[in-house]
Amino acid sequence: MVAGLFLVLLPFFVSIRDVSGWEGNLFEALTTERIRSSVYGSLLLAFSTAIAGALIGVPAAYFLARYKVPLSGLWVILFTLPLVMPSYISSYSYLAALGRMGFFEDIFGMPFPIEVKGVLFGSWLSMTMVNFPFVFLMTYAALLNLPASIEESALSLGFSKRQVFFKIILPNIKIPVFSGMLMIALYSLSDFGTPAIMNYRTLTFEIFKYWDIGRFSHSSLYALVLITLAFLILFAEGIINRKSHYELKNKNCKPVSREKLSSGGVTGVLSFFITIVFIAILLPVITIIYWAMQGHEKFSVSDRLKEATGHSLTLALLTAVFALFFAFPFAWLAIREKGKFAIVADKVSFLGNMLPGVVIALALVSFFVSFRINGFTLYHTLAMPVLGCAIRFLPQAVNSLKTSLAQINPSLEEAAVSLGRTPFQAFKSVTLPLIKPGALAAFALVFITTIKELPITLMLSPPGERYLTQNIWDFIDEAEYSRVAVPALMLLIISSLSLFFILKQNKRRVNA
Amino acid sequence: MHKNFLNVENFTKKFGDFTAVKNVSFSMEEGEAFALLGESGCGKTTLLRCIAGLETGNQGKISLADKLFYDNKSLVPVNKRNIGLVFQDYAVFPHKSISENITFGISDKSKHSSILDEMLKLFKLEDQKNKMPDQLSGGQLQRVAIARTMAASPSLMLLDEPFSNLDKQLGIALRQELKTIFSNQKLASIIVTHDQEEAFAYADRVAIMKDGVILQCDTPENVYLKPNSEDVAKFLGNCQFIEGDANGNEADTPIGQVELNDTHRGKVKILLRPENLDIVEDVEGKFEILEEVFHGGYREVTIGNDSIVLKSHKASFKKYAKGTRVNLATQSKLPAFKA
Repeated sequence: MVAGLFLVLLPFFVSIRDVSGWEGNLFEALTTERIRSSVYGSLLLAFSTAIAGALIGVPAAYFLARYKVPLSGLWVILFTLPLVMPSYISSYSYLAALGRMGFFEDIFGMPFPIEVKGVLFGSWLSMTMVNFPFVFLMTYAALLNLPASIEESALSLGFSKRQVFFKIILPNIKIPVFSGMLMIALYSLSDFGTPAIMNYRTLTFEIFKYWDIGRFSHSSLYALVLITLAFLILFAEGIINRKSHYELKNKNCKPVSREKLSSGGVTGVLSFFITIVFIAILLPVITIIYWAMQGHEKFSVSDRLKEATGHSLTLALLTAVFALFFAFPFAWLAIREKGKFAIVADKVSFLGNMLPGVVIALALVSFFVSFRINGFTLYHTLAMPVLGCAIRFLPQAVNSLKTSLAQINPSLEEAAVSLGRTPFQAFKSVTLPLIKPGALAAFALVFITTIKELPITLMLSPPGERYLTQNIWDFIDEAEYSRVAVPALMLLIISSLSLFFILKQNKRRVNA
Repeated sequence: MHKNFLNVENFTKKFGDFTAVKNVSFSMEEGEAFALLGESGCGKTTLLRCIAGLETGNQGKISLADKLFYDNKSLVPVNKRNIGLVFQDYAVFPHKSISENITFGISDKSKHSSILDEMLKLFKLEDQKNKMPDQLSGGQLQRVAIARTMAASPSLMLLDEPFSNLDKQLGIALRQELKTIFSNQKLASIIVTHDQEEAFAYADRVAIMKDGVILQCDTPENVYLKPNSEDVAKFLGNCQFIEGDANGNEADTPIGQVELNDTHRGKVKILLRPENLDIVEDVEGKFEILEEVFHGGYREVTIGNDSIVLKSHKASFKKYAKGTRVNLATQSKLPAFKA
């Protein structure tokens, strides 16, 4: 537990330590043109993505929650699917589709009219398409949880459908929509792959560039600014959620029945849906397959790729075991103990969410490069990426365990104890079997997300070890679209598997 | 007084193949308190929602004070019916304060404050007016919901299981309060409930529904004392039947001769509720006390012999010893049905 807390808080300490040793005027360093423009770039990306995500997610959720749309179950899955797309694969695919010498140019014989690389557009497109499901899912759940009687009351008091939408529905989904938007902003802010591939200047990209040339204190300075911004966003989300009066106490309320759409309405809604699915899913997948077929190697798997796959699997396995081991005490405290320490621990474990991969990687390098006990060092060992990924994905594991732990009534253990078991036996024979599904889900989620984690594997890999993600990274740098395609396709398939666990957990949370 | 204030004629509502309301007709007077009573799934809520305009019917006619709400040609939408709706789950808008909730449906802005004050006073909500709904208890929320509906001065109140989420005592108190308020304001109301006591205590007339049909529509006394069918009798509970041989207003039964409340001939089933069955101690008696359970307000005594077992509810002060020989009798005129 204490080790877990230490690990999660390490990146903060290291950033602050590195920056506090700054030689020269810190204020001047913080106000350079370079920092200002990267802060501007990061914030612009974060907020434009959040707004676009809401413009897609809210209408999509509204149509699916309130109208009879053909294949509604399928659309819900399709609008959740982009969540599992690693952002760097998404941006690679848009680059390979719309960028110079891309898919579009190959087919139509002219370049795509809008520049994607080096400007906001490409990063914005990629981040919006990967992240809009956050707003979609939260809005959709909020709409389904709104009792029918609320809207029917307003109708019976003489208000029209339109008025009910603006006076009743909108105010009641406002908070989930904002929360979803802030999550999108947070993820866009901390994402590294997209701005790096699209060559768009953000804080994460700058951290990486300084790290690459070995100027850790510069990196740490940017990291501190980034953490501060991320913290502000999380803080804003906390305030918004606290303000809500919207906890509807009645759980057995009847949801609104879905209304029939006119045939014109069906056409309109379906074309909207198809457009989203085309841009967010079909275009990237088609592009990747197109390039995979263009390549000299076709779908063949090179030795280099095989070796990288092996390394990635080992890393993921170790990380999942390690993360689960640390997650368990956090989850237990959060659900079963109600003390102050439990609250603090719960908040801290959540911090991994706001720590961008680049920041974690940077902190670990900066800390362990000089940290030795009896000449023994973890630096340049497999422990580095394992630690990094474990810190980063701890919240996922904790959440998953919390969901299943919350469903186990403590009276089950009490019953076992009253039947003559010791508390430990009761835990082993009752609690453990019951949280096994949650633990397995947590394991699988961490496993899969580790395989696709880019910045940590990139920055912390021990010398000579290469991961799947690096195969992609190296070739993108060389603009070899077709050589990226095969590993990208592999990662995409592995990532899609995690959707299964995400959907299952969502379902359980709704039922809980 | 308007005789046929609400009129429902031959009304049918289907959901796909399932007919939820079958050819139902009834009417209400102005200011009347009316109850739709039945088990869950009997169609009572659907009927209420059709009157409100939340559901559209498949056949028949609904009108209120000569204004046609629904027939096969025309339909007035819910927001044009001026009907007050109260739900089981309160449906207080969670994002609006108590005052904002209550004034929500008042169309005339200039009357906001006067109506608000009146409603706050009427429903004893003065101290809550600036609070948000999540700060109130269930009982208070339901008062807010009712105040909100009344503030919009509806011509008819429809209440769907309004007390079923409240504590029993709280529900009874609110029920009595509402009855007084509605009757003072001469406001007609329909309450949907599965609770017989609630329906009887609240309503001037009760319609008993089963499988989408109204079995009987009458005053609480009449549906209880003179049920028109075995189904109605059984639904209203505490039901036991004895067989009898009827001859006009009398019948021969295993407990002796009893009076009927209607004329019958031949084999009949006679409804003998436990509270109507008297026990007469007699060492020669044909029956024996088999069991006695103390319930507080009454004692439930089980009496029987080889061929028949009956229950009787007696005042709690008198104890009956097991094994005592007794005879049975009744003072009431009993309802009977063709066997």
